[in-house]
Order: sequence, then C-alpha cells, then structure tokens
Amino acid sequence: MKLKTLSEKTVKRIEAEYTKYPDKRSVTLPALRIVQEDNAHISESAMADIATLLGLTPIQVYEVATFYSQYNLKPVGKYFIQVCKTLACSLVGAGSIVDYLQEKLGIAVGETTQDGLFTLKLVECLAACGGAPMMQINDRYYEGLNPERVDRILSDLKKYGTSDLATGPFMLPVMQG
Amino acid sequence: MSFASESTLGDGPLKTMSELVTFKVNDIEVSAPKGMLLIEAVKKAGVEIPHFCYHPRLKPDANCRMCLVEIEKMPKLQTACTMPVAEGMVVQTTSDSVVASQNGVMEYLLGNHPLDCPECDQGGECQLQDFGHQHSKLGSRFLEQKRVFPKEYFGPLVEKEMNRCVSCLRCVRYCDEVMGVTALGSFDRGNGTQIGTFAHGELDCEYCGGCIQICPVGALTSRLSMYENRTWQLKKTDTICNYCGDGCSLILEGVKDDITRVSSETGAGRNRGDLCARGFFGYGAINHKDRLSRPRLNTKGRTLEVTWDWAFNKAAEDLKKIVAQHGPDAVGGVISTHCSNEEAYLFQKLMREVIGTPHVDSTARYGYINALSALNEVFGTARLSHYEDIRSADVLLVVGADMAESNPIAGIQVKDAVRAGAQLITLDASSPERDTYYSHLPSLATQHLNIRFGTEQSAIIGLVKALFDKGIASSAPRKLVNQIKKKVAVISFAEIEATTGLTENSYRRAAQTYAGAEHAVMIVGRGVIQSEGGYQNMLRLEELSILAGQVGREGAGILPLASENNAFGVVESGASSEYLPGLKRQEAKPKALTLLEMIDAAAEGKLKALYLVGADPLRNLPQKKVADALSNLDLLICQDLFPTETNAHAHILLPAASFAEKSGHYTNHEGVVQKGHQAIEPVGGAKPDWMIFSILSNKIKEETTLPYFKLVGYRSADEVWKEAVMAMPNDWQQNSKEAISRHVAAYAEHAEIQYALQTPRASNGVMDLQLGQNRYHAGTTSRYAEGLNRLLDCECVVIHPDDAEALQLEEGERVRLSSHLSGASVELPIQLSQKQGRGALFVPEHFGLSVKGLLPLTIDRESKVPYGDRGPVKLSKVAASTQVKG
Amino acid sequence: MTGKELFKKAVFYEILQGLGLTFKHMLFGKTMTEQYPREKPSLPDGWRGAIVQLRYDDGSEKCVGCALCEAACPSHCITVESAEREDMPQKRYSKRYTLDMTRCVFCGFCVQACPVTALASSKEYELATTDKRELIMEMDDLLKLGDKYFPIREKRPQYTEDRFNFFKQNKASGFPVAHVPVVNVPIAKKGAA
Repeated sequence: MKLKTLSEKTVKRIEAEYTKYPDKRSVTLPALRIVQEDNAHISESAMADIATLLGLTPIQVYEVATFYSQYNLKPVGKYFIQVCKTLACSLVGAGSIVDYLQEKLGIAVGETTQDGLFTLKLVECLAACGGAPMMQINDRYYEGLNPERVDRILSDLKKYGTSDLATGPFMLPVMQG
Repeated sequence: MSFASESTLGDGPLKTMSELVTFKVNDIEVSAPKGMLLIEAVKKAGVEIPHFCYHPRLKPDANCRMCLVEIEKMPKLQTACTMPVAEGMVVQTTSDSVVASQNGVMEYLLGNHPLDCPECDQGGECQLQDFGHQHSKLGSRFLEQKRVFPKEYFGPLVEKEMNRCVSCLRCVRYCDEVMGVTALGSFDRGNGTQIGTFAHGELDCEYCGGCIQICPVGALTSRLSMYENRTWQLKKTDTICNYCGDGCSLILEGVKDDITRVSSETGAGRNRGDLCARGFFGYGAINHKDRLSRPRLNTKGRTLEVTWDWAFNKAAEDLKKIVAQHGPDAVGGVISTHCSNEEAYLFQKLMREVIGTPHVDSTARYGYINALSALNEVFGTARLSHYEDIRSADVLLVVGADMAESNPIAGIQVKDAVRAGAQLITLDASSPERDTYYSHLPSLATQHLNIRFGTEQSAIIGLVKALFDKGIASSAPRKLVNQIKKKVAVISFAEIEATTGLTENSYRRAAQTYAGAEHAVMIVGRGVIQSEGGYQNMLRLEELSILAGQVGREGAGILPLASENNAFGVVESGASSEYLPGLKRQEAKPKALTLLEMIDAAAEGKLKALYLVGADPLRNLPQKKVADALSNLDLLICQDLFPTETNAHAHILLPAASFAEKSGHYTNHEGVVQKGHQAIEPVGGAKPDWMIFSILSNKIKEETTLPYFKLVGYRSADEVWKEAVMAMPNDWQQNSKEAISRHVAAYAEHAEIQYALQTPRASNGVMDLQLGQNRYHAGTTSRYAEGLNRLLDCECVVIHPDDAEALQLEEGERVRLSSHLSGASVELPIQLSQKQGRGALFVPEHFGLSVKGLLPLTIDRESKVPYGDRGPVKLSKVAASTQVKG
Repeated sequence: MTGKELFKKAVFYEILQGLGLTFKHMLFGKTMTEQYPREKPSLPDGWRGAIVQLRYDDGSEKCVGCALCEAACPSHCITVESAEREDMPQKRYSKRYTLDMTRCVFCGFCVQACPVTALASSKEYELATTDKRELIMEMDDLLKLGDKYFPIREKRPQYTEDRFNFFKQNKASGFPVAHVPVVNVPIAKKGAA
C-alpha cells in the first residue's frame, strides 16, 4: 500500500476517524474534508490515495467528491467566494451581484484570478435568507450585498485580510483559515 | 441427470419461499410466491410494468421511478421493483395517477435525450424507445437547450455516449454487484450526472461487456460491432461458448454467414446471462480471414489445394496402405478438447473400429485427464458439484486456481457466494492484493493460504494433517482414515512450514473451517491439475474432502476447473487412451498409447500415421522432439481451423468448422451436457469434424467408389449423438449418494496412498515462471479475435510491483528471461500486477512458442500428463541499446 | 323488331356513330396525343418516380445509414451497409447503399421512413435500359439523380459546439487508440484516424 500524495499527518487524521463509523467506506466524506483542509483542494491522486486507504476503488471516492459542491477539486484562491444562487437571494438580485463580481474580478464563475487571490463559485442556499443576497468568503458570511458593499469587502480583504462587514461564521464545525 | 435446466436466476432467497400469496393486479387475480417483487409477479397476469433501473440480476435500486404503481390502502404510489407481493394486495398499473406519473417520468427522461435513434445501435431493442412509445405523451414542454456532454474516448471496445444516458445506474451496479470490479461510477450531480471512470480516464477493467448488455439505452454500446447491423436484421442462435470449461450459453447474432455480435439472455444457461471478455468480444475468430478454407495436400515439397473428394480418397488410401503394411497399431489419433461430444465419439469409433488401432487420445492429456481419472477412480463419477452448490455453499475452498483469469464465470459464482456470506479459503501462491479494477479471489477470501510457489502438494499434506485434529467425518471409510493417518504422522508441521512457508495455525484454521462447514465445495484449478504430481495431488484433495465429509452429499463436492470447453465431454465420449465411452476403463492389447507416447513412438518409427484433430503438440511439448517425430511420420493428417506450426508438417490438411458452424453437445466442467446450435454455414469450404470422420470412415470401409452422397454415413450431428448416448454405460451420468459411497469404500480397499513432501528450493536469484491463461484469451484461437487483440495482443511477463522496483524495472520495459536448464532465453516486456506472488513471474501461454522452451518438462508416472508450465528462470534487464521500441 | 331497328342493324349504325365521333375529332378537335420522346409531359407534384438520395448544402450526403428504409421496403430492394466515419468518431454513414430499381415498386415507403429526409421520390421515370444491371443503383448513382432533380439543398444542421470541437481536434491529432498495459499497442482499426 503506497500513497503518492497524502502526508503522514493527513493519513493519521483520517485513520483517527475510523473508529467513529461502522465501516471504512463511511470515512470517505471526513477523509475528503481532511484532505481539503490540509491541501486546500482535493487532487485526483489524493482521491486515489484515499481509495487505497479505505480499501475502495478510486471511482468510488471520485463519485462522492464530485457530488458535493463543498469539495474543491481544483486549487482555489486565498479568498474563496461562494455566492448563494437559491431562490431567496435570486429574487433580490443575486444574479446582478454575480455579474458585478465577475466584471470586477475579471473572471467567470468557477475561475480564479490571476494573482491567486479570489475564486468565484455559485452555491445553493447557505441558510441566511434573512440577509439576502449574501455570499460566503472562506468561512465568513457577508449579507445584504450591493455593489458598494462588495467593493468594500473586496478591498478590505485585499488590504487587511479581513473585513468588518462580515456577519459571522455560521458553519459548524469552524474550519481554520 | 443434469442437462441445462430453466432459469436459475433469483435463487437464494426465493428458492426457500414456496408459500404462495394471492393478489389482484388490474382486476386479474394472480398468485405468486410470497416475497417476490411485484414487478416480477405481475408478469404472471400478462402485465408489464415499465422500468429502467430494475434488472433481475441486480438488487433493486428504485432510482428511475418509472415502475410506480397504485396499491390500495397505500397513501402514495409505490415502486413495484422494491415492493414484495403480499396476500390480498390490490394493484393498479393503469390508473390515472399511475399514467400521469409515468408520463411525467418519461417527459423528464426524454427532455434531455437526443433524437438520434436512427444512428443509435440500441435502436430497435431500446427500453426507452419501447416504454416511450407506450407511456409518454406526444410532444415535450422542454423548450430549453438539451444537456450536451463532450465526446469522450472510453476504451478500445466500449463506446460511451453520455447524452443518451438515463442515469439508471445499471452498469455501475452490475460492475459492482456482479463483477465485483467497480470500475464504473456515476459522478457529478443533478442534470450533469454521468457514468464514467475515475477522472474521466480510459476504461481499464476486465471487459466483461456486462455494462454494454445491461444498458437499457444506447449510452454504452460495443465498439466492435458498432453500426454493423440493426437489431431487427440479426439472426440469433443459441450456442455454447467455445473458450473455457465454464459452459456459458451464448447467443450468436449475425446476418447471413457473418457473426457480428454476441449477447446472452439474462438468467439463461449455466452463466445466468453473465459473460466474460472472451465470450462477449471473442467472436472475431469465427470469420477470420486466415481460416483454412480448402483441403490441402503437401506433396513433393509443394502445397496444393484439392477438392474434398480427392482429399478423402487420398487420406483413406494412405491410411489403408499403412494399415496393410504395418498393421493398424501403426496409426494414432489425437482430438482436441474443443470438439463436441459427437465428434469425439465418432473419432474414437473411426480409430478403434474402422482402423482398429487402440491409440486414441485427446488434448485433455495436457492436464484435465488428471482430474477426471482421479475423480473417476475414487468416486466413480466426475459430476460432484454444480454452480448451484457453489452459490449455496457456506465454505468454498479454491485450490491452485486463478478463477478470475481462467474461468471468470465460475469465478462469478464464487463471488456471489461470498457476497451471500460464504467463507472463501484460497490456496495459491498469488498475493492477496488486487489490481484496482480487476477482481481477484484471494482479495475476497476470509483465509488466503499464501503458499510458496509450486508447493501445492505440500500444502495439501498440511491441510490433511490439520484435519486430523478437527475430527474426521464419520462417513469416511476407517481403512482409508487409518492409512492416511499413518502416512501424515511421519511428516511434521515444521517440515511443511519450511516448504510452504505457512504456519501450522493457518492450516488448522482452514481445515477447521472446511470440515466444519455445512456445505463446502472444493474448486480445484490448474495449479494442481496441470502441475507436477497432478494426478496424485488430485487424489489427495479428494481424500481430504472424504475425510472432511464434504463430498458425496447434497450441496457439497469437488469441481475441477477445465480451461477447454469440452475436456470433460471428449474424454467421456471415449477419445482417451484409457477410457471407452462413459469413462469405462479399457484394457487394450497392445497397450493404448497416450499423446506423448505416440510422439515417442513416431520418433522411434513405430507409429507411421498420425491423425491430429485440432491438436497442436508443437506448442505444448518440446519442439525439437515433436518436429523430429512429425517429420518421421509416413502420414500426418491434420484437421484444424487455422494454420498452425504443427499442421505445417501435415501431409493432408483438412479445414474444419468452428463451433458456430456446427451443432453438437458440449460437457462443461460440472458435467452438464448442453447443446450448441449451428449459427452459420461453414466458412469457406470447411466441414464439421463429425462429417469428416463419417465420410472418411465410409471411404476406408468401402472398397468401391460409391457416389459421394452415399458415403456420408450420418446425416446430422443429432444422429451421431443418439448413437453416442446409446454407447454410454447405463449409469454414465449417475452421481447418487449411494453409488459414490460404494465407490469410495471400494477405493479405500485398494488405495495406495503416497504423501511426499517437496524439497524447499533455494531462491539464489532465480525467479519462478508460471505459464497460464490470461483473462482476455483462451488457447490460441482467441488470438484471431480482433476484439480480444485490442485488449492484449502480445506476450508479456507479469511481475509484482515490489519485485519490479527491486530490479529497477518499469511497466513496459523489456526484460530477458533465460533458463539455466536449457540455456534458451526470451525477451519480453513486463507488466505490473499486484496480485502476482512475490518472486514469481507469469506469462500468458497464448502467444509465442519460445517461452515454453525455457521450462523443464516432466511426465506424470500414472496419467502420462506432460507438465511444462512451471520452472525457474533468470530475469535480467535488457540493456537500453538493444531496447526495441513497440 | 321494328323497321327502324332493322335498318340500323343493316347499315351498322353504331359503327357509323362511333366513326362520326372519330372524324369529328380528327377534323375539328384539338390534338391530344403527347409526342412523348420529343415532348415531355409535365408531371404533378408528389409524383412517385425513381427514389433518389439528397445532399446538404455543403455537398455532404444526408444519409446516416440507419437502414430504416431497408426495414420499410416492401419489395426488399434496398440494402444498407453502415459503418462509422473514420474522421468523425461515432458518426454513422452508409458505407454501401444499394437500391435495386428492378424490384422497386415506387411506393415511397422508404421516403416516409427516412428520419433525415435523405430520400425523395423524383420525377425520373425514364428507366428503360438495355442492361438490367444498370438499374441496381449504388449511392453515387442515386446522388447523381438527386442532384438532377433537387438542386435546392437543405442547410446542414450545426453540431453542438463541444462535439464539433472534439471532431476537429481528432482530425488534427488522430482518434485516441487503445491503451494496453504492454508495448506494441494495437491500433484500433475501426474509427481510427
């Protein structure tokens, strides 16, 4: 059993999950999460390694990884912008926010800026419909968006790495970074 | 009697449920076994529920939602494919709500389906077409752009057209549930869900073709028969596969005299509709351009094509001349185990009765005769277990067999049993790891006895010895038990461990599991049957099963695996030096010569004429010796499909018909006799073998030249079969409990049991080479199949990645194998495989002749089987300068 | 029988009557005979003459080789052998298309069956020949006839962009061949570029 990509530390973390589940195949989701936390994205060879660890064939891991939009299969920028595209946000103009972001950053949805800072992606409901339209950058929510607020958020992030417009992380467990 | 019976699908849970329940479907009252799925049960009322994801071979998945039906007292519509029938159920399959839901599902599926039915190969047998006509409204409300997937290359034999996919996941489930390979998966989600391989790579799997056959639409189609014919043009013929001993039912499909496709019927035949790469893609050999088409004479250094009449007269005259000059004993004959039972019967009749020579043999002499005669010796029958027994067994012991490679369909039965909870014990030298997308039984085993290369004989002693602690079955004859006990007592576990590398404990555990099982089936493969000491080792295994009480009763038994499709039948029909039809031992005077002895006799000049039917001794025996012997003959008649090295020496070469061009009965390794039907007329000017024997017999017997048609003694293969069955002894298929125990008791009286431990061999830089079957090929005929050649078309050396790493070799690099025994050497590319045992090499036997020359030949004392598949070789890297680019 | 009737019988009155009509048309009527080889009749639309093959505006043949015409033909006069196009993987075309005009009953079922309207009934009716073999028409003959009678061609439907790119890219680089774990990679014959 030879692994190509995963570091020893990642493997240890994955192995620690074994006891929590009835069989090894169930560890696929946490294993993918751990790899994403450690490597920022999940490469194909990392998926093959997970398969080797869990006694699956690579396609079985690939199925899971491509199903969930939360897993990044390509490298993402330092700030990972996920704009909600579900009904509530769409009704109050998520579409125009996306268009604005695309134009401002000069990238299409799913791409990363040249400087490697921003990646833009559309996601389903993030359960903050009260503050629609909204987006999530890394683990922080930004609600009630309009072009001016978006401008401020982006420039804040570029300058300071954080923005005080953030309305707090709602996702549990809290991820680092 | 064990003729192929009706569908054996869905045994297991349903077999035990004999209780009938009565329910109503569309106001028709039907009764069905309790627990049967509704979708199956309503068929009895003549109702068909439309479905896509349901398939009788797979577990219900209920993802397509097409089979929704209305059941009284249930609040919502229910999926018929997951609903077991119950007493008093009232089902509506045509009510308004059902029709509305069916229309809805169809509208969704057709929303994205391209309108390329005229181009699609599935057109005409497509479930989406059929159910679409019945269950959808005209027109679509879907006005948007259809989903389009980019075209992807999906492998040399499978064509993927994702736009046609209805995401029923049948292919994914088949790959996982039946084949246990899991090479296919469904990825992405929602509208973009697609079927594919890891990271959109090329399909790299066993190529069983199951995904193609099970796809309800044209998303996965065969690239080999792509666009050749429309389904309604094809003529379909049931026959039996010609490649290995599994005895699978095939349907050959083609137009006129061409076979363009192979399929199988779900649930039909011994294979229950499953096929392997050889069966599904291997039909190309039938219509290959290299097939012999006209009889040839080799005279005065020239090859002349002649008419059949001339060839028959010449053969008859020459045979008669030799019989007159040297007596009938100067003639010998060998028939291939790919011939049908009728042909084997007729051939031995031609030899024994018409010519009068006892020297008849078949290519079962290369190994399978060991299993047959050893089983016949002890049990009086070789029909001891069937696939049904394997599937219902709770312990399976697989000895020396790589079933996934040699007998994939028998392997599927084992996989099914393991999935149903059976314990699998494997005993061979392969490593328990598997290659990612290739199944390997030891990787599924609960206990894998990973012995050192070639030490099966010693390992069997270990198992027998370990069995004595567990307690011997009461059914075992005392005399036999005592004799064995005495023999194994002198051998210690320490000695066995030194040879096989396995501890006492692992033998004990395996023996305990095997003997403690309710129904255990032992499957014996080539590693025992076709390797040194095969006959004796087979006897030892039989004694093991007698001691454990796992033979001679319902559900338990022994299954020796055959690598040729009719090895059992040819021997049973009498084409063997020691047996008359029905495995009756013959005492001939002078002693009948075996294949090998015939070659020796020919070299000595005692044998003057040899009749080889599909046999190719040059490939299987030392070449120089055979070549000398063949050139020493006064008359060599060969009968074959393709030109081979052997029949290049023939004085008379007769083109024979392949299995698709004749009807005949074939006996698979379970002993099940099945009939194959004629699909096409013989290719070129070939004739079926039985017809050649029949005409030749009459030509030899008749003094005057009668008109041609009068000389054809038998009008059809069926006529021969009727006579052959009459020639069998009354009990030829009998395998009753009483008969077996009677035979075992008789065997115990006269048995002379030898237990000999092999001497452990020092490795000193030498690796062990094993020749064997590759999963994509069988024998040499499969090399002519284009489909199989696309999967593997040249020889290679299989080696474990660890060994390769130690030798600094990479995949595809060329290495030199050399033998210190013969001094010969061969250069081959390497292929890495996890399942290969460390320190051992594997070369598929289907290609070159030269690798055979590296290996020593030993001959079995009892059964005269030549063993030349194993031996030590030296592996060295080929210097980069001499590296040949592929 | 009255005298009048007897008189009519005696002078062959009916024949005179008939001849009278003949002479009336001969002397005073308009000529109705078609001077066929010199003058061609004008045929009504929907005339079912010889079956022809059509092309798209870019000159490529419309036929996709689906053999539905073969299935529809009541006189079994059509034979289609289809194959995959070498330059366009997974594109079906008819490698050989034979229409035996000697057996054709001009029913037009094939025209109705064709899913891509590659077949049409032309107004060709002059099929007389001294060599019957000429009437067993191959694809080229049928296309030639089609060009003659249907000069206005339909526009070729545009392929979806992805697939078109795949074909174009394959034309440049060649269709991928089988990867086999050993060297001496066999070339996939069908569909290989």
